[in-house]
Amino acid sequence: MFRRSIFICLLTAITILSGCFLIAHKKENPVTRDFFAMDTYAKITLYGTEAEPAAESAKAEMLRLERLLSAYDTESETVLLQKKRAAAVSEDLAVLLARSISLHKETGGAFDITLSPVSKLWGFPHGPYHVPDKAEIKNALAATGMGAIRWDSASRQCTLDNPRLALDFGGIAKGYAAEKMAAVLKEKQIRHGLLNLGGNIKAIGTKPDRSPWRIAIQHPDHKNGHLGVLSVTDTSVVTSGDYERYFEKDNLRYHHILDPKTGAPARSGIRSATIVCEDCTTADGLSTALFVMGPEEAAAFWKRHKEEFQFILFTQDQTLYVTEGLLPLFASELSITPVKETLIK
Amino acid sequence: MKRNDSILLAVLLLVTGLLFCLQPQPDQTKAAFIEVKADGKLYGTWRLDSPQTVTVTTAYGKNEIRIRDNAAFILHSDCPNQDCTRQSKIVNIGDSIICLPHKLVIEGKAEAGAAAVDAVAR
Repeated sequence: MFRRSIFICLLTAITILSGCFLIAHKKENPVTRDFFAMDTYAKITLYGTEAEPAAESAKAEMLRLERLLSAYDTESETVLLQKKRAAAVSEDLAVLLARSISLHKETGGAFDITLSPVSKLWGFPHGPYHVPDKAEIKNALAATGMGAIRWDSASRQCTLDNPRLALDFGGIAKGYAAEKMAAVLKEKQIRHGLLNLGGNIKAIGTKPDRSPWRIAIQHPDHKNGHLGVLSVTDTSVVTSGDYERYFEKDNLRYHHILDPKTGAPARSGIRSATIVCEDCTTADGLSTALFVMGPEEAAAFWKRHKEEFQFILFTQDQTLYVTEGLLPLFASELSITPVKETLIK
Repeated sequence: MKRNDSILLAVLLLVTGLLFCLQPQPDQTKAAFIEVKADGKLYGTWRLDSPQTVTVTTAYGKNEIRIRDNAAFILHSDCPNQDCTRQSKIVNIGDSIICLPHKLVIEGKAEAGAAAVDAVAR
């Protein structure tokens, strides 16, 4: 009788443990929203009881910022500022202007929000594409220059000194939008979520099972392949590469990341630059800037700012550079060249 | 515990273990089907193992998606820049082709239960 009781107890324990295992591994269904905004495809993935209203609020926030910051909507605050040449701007535009100016200075001019006339000359982003001659580029470059932006942070007054100057926050707006959306989600008590704004990633917390988010980095040459996979929590991951928006003419590839000094697609030796840091606005701006700088200048820049961000660079000679802070988080089948502070002159 | 009880318990555990191990394991990276969304709304899903050409017509324009050899790509589009026709084939989970002018998104999806990356930074 006693042995039979032990047997029944064992069976009951197995049943209960199996049930617990199944419950623990039950997948929670995410709430998703996908839509087109800021000239890209955005996807929101959220978990939690408040995920449904939170996703709507985050989407509304991105659409609000699109209306404010668009370089193509004639009613946007950005375009209205260009028309007036001087105005007191909204809090959002003030943050972006101040951040853009500081990034421009920090990166030695590699980040620039005034390149719109040159981009349009090449046909970016909406075409028709065109390879301009030197005279055309020189003329378009004359309409650029961050020095022509006078900015007073106290009064939020912005004055554009060059009458041809046009502002385009395309290199930073998605990152800023991700930060603002994340702030909305934080207010809504969302602890597990992922914002993917056209490949600009903002990870909120962990996955619901407390494991890190797995973010693959696109391989520039193999669209179906990855440079590797990052395991991250509460982090931004933004990549700029020469493979997303480009056209080809006479066997030459012309991509959309322009060098502010030459007015032509940056030929720095970098194929893709990925920035990993907490703030998505910074990640967005720096991914473009480091792409323009090239590997050596980018490494030197990282050495001066290594507390603020980490990077992954894939270069023309197929080298995959990964800064030391990311080495424990990055898995790749390719050979990795570690970037360590001690190795940089 | 009687001898027969022990045998029964061992058989139960063995069967449970075998059932767990014999579950079909889906490929961890290859997409099983594509999901097509137009302007954020689901347009349809098609399996990658059934070759065909799918024509997606929306208010923005027309795209022809060719499915063959367990991959999908845009064969033709009447969008201005033809960027979508130059994008690589969808083979893996999470691969996507986006036609911005037509607000069309085609994404490689997994069989239920397959693991994948959560997003691709690009």
